[in-house]
Amino acid sequence: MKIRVAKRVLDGNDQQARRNIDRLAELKLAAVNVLASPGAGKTCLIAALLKRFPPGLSVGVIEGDVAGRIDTDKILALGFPATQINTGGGCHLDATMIAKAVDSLGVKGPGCLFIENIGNLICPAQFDLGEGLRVVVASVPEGDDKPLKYPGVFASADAVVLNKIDLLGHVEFKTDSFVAGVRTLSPDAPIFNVSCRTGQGLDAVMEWLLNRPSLRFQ
Amino acid sequence: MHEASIAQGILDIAIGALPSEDTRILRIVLVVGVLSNIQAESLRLYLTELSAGTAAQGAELVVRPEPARLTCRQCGTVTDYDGAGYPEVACPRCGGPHKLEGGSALYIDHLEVEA
Repeated sequence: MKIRVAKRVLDGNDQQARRNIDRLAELKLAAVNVLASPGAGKTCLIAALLKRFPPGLSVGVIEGDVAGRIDTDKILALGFPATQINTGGGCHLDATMIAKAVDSLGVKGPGCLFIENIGNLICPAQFDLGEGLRVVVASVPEGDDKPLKYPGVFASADAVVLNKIDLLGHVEFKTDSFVAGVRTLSPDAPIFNVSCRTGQGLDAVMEWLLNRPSLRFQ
Repeated sequence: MHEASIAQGILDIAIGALPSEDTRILRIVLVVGVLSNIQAESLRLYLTELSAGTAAQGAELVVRPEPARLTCRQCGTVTDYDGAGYPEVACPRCGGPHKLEGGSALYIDHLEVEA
């Protein structure tokens, strides 16, 4: 006998993600899910953006890592609220973890909540956290082939940030190939060339972020 | 790690869809998009382990791959991307830029159970 199911395997996560959307709207917080491989510069990008937020908007960060609270301590040291999720080996954050972290963080909007996902270009792409925007960070030393090697995550990006452009010319990286890869996967996503180390290009990311209709700051 | 939680999700949904507690599942038919980052063999391994003692013990996992589509943004030619190799950035017909869509499905289509 055949039983029709037609149900997404991640249905439980999706349902929680929808509850997160409601909860975040209640708190007037716009959530930005930041995805990248380890070391691409997720924390540096978030820190740089936090410092550029206009007064009157609150900010907070949920840090996801397999172990430790190094990134949370970095954000706290800058004077911004942050809370740590340790997955203990888990390769991605899920919507239930975010629901708990939002409560423990205790930040209220209007403002912006950054979620730094586990450094991984594979699994985090599958898990909706209830975020308003998804930003994928790549970096020059990783090579220009990353979009085409990890199509799932780049296809889900609302914006792509190419970090460490101060290293262009020092390492092998063909910007045209990188852009062509991103364009194939996510034709409408803006690509921002930045260096979190020198500050180059970060104002443009901030301007884009503040002008997203999906980020209802007020 | 990832496939273990996916396998548990599959079992929860499959067992939850059964009309009665003593119905045995023979087959689980799963649609897996080529961009969904799921490794079928690893999934089978976890399903075997996690289904022990449940209505899904011994059930076969049938994976139906769902390709992604590469559409040329210049001439509209559509080709399938089956997940092998890189997605082509340029159209094989006119050389125009491609756009990749679909291929992210991950759902249980149906179960086959003991009548």
